[in-house]
Amino acid sequence: MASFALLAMVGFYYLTQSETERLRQRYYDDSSHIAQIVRDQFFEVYRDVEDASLFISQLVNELVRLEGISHVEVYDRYGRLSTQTHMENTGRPEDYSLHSSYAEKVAETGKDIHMEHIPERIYEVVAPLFMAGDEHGGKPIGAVTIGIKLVRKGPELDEKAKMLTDIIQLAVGKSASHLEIERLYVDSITRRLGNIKGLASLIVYDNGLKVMAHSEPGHIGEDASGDTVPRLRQVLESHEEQNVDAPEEKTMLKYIPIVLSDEEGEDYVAAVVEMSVDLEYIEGTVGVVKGKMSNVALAIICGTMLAIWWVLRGVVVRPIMQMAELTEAVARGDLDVKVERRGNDELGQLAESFNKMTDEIRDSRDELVSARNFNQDVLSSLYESLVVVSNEGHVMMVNEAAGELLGYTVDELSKVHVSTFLPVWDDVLSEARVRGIAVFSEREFVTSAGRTIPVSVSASEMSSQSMGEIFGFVIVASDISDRKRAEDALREYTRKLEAYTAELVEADQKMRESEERFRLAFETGPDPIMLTRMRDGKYVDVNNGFVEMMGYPKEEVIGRSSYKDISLWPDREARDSFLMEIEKVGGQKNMPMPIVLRDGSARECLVSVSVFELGGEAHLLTLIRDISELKSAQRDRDILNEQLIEKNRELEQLVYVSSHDLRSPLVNVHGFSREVEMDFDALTKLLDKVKMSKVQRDEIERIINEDIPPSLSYIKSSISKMDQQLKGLLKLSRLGRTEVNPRKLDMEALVHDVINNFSFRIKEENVKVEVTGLPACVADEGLVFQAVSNIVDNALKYMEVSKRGRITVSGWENEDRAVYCIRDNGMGIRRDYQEKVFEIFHRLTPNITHGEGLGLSIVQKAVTKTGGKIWLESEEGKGSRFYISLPVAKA
Amino acid sequence: MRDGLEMEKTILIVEDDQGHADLIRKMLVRSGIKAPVRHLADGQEALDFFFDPGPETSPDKVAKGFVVLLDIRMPKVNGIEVLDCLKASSITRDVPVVMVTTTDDPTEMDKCFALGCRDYVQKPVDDAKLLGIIKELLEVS
Repeated sequence: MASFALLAMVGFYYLTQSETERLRQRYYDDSSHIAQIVRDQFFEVYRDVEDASLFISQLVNELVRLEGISHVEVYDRYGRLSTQTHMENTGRPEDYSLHSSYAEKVAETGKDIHMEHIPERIYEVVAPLFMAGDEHGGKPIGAVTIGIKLVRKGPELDEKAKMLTDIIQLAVGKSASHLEIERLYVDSITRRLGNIKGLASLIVYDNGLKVMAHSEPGHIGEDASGDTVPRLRQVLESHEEQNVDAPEEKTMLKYIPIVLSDEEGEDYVAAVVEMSVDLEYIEGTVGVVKGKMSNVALAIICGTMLAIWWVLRGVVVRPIMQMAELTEAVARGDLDVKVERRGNDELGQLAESFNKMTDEIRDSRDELVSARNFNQDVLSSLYESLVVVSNEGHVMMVNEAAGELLGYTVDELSKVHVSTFLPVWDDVLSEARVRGIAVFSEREFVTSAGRTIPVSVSASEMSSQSMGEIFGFVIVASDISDRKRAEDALREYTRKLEAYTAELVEADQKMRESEERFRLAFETGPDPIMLTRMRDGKYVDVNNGFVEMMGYPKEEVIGRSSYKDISLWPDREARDSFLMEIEKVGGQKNMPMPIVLRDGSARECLVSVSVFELGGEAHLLTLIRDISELKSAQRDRDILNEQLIEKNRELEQLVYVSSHDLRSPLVNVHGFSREVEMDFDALTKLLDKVKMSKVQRDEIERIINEDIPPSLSYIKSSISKMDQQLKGLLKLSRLGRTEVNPRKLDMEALVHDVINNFSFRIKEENVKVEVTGLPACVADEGLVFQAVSNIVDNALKYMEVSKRGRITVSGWENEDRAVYCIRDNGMGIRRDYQEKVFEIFHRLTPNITHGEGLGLSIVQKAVTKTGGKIWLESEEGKGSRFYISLPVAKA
Repeated sequence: MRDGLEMEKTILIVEDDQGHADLIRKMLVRSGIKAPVRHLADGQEALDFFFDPGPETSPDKVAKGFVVLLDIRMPKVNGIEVLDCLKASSITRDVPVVMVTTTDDPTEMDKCFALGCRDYVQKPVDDAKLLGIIKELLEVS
């Protein structure tokens, strides 16, 4: 009995002892597990934070390449500098002690601060940084400082600052938002993990030994202090987890490094998580049988057991047995069992102690269960997708975020192979197997719908510390679509900026080309061009044309004044009135002006001036065109013209005079031939009375009757013909001297008058004359009458004998001309003679001797003289049409 | 006395062409005109004759004593100028002047009539026409 009791006691001791150890071990395991989760979480978050920071840093250094930006700095909301332009890029002024407080102020108020650094010629804008999509109304998450090279102050500078701020706000803000979300997340995880019972505190230090996150509020930004500093340093150096017992503080500290790889693949510790485990709590729960307190309890139990064995022996066997059974139950894990307490004796007390122990063990277990549940909660609430896979890649566990991202339910996703959604799984797991952890900044997930999502992926080995073997991998992935979009947006902005810059460059190029063209035009133009300042007439530039024409070398002119030193104007008044005119109307075009050359000679020129602004001052661009040659040509022409008119007049005078002078002797020839004729008649009569032989008489009579009369007749007809021609010439020359008196003419009446003048001949020759409605015109009445008379005269003269003559006069209006047609059905004119009919003395029918042969010359002269035109259409044997066009009379 | 009146008038031929003057003289002789005929060789001679008066051309005789046959185209002073002078002077204003000229220019003709010539005869002269005119002028007292 006693041995049994002792055995039971010892068994119970060992039972409780092993259970306690196991629990304790499990607790440590669990805390390690928590630490692992914490590490994984922080690892992911930190990697993202680092990525985002790196991205912002790159971004900031990209931005500084933009034209006109000297530097960019990004601050967090506490005014701490998080990223800045590399020093070699920056044109940032040295004295920046105030920056942090400015940034903090801006992050606090959300309002811009603008500063000007005069000596450095930098314009600085400190602008708030908002969460993406939170620009209006939200609280800033930080501030950004943009330094702009100060070229010229003005509205365009503020505009530029605004544009750059917007771009940086958009680009940095997006990433910074991401960063901020991660930070908030760290904060929230830290707080929540800190609530686990048994965890005294949870602190995240960055590798600058500053508090980044704290389970208690109000510590962020503080420096690590006291013993923590060397511990953190050690972790930073070794990359190893550290456990530190601090019994005097009743805590055990766990330092978990968050190891990341830098760009070169070199590992570094981004942050250290300090987990403070409450030793009192653990001992209070588990230490019933261990440590100082547990030794006392053991002594009590042992003593009590011995006493029971001795005092009660067999009487107490049942309760002892019950206790042994219960102990076994407890060992099996049933902590709800209770020892029935009977009285207040030792056994009762022992029962109470036992019950208390089981209660505490139960509480401890519940605590562990809740910690596990919490782990589950943490997984569920993870923003990132978490997938646990077996060594072979079979999904063992997923969180809700993974299901949501991939479009499966958690259950569905739990049954697939990792390759279903992570095509590169093999690479990822191999890497994790080799290095313990694999990190890929950009891989793709494939959703249930087959869509690909860019993700950052990390995989870490999963091993049980207690078992020490790898049983799978934890894959954590986060959707980086937003970041990609931000990157794309930035790329787009950069592209736009580049395009804008390219446009500017192109515009500049065009400007240069246009300047070049202007310069070429200026320099190579043959006409003189000069550029002078309006205020004082100072020559700014002159071209080669100027040098060549004016005779001044360029260097002699430039810098001197066109008003005082080298004046091109013939006199002051001419210059002043010219300038006044320019000032009044802003320029001059082709103003005739004599220009004085260096040798004192003057040239007739056309001067054009335009006024324009150059360097804020009015300048004159003067173009000079030498027209002296043109002028002299014009003068020559005028002289020739005058000479021609004079010659014409002389010619007409000559014709007039000579026809007169020729007529005088002709009058004599005519008169004296008649005298001779009369004398001859007298002589003939006298001869009758003279006696002579028949032969003599016959001879004389033959002379008198046959020789002399035809000779006289020839003389007379020749005289008559010559007289007609001289009269014609006189008439023609008279036309040349006639004054033209145009007025409105009633053509119908005029033509009827002409017809009337010929009425005798018309009747005699039985010619049919028709006049149809004729429009009125403006012309000299005498000249038109002369012309129409001559044409009608000609028509009557050259009628075809074989048919009845016909003359038709018609007319019409053609725009501003009145056109008349005089048509006959006479002999007509051969085509090759039609051009010649208007020539002087041209006679088409030499056998018809009457008329002076000048009829159509006179017609042409008359019509032309009164501003008309004459032409003809004719066909031999059918008749002619003479057309006269004259200015129509306006109604 | 009708003849006597006729006799009082002298026909003045102002003509630079001797032939023309002779032809007129022959025509006058042939037609039986008894009036004295005098030939002046140009316009200047005509002006001298009237305005440098001798016993022949005393003012009281001038107006009724002459019929002038005046050529136009003459050297020194032309016929139109002579006509102008004759018509401008109160002494010679009423002397009848007949233009006998080779010119058929209507403007000249108009001008002569405007200045006050009695008639205008173109050369070659239509004998009957000129004779008619002269006879008429000789008969007027």
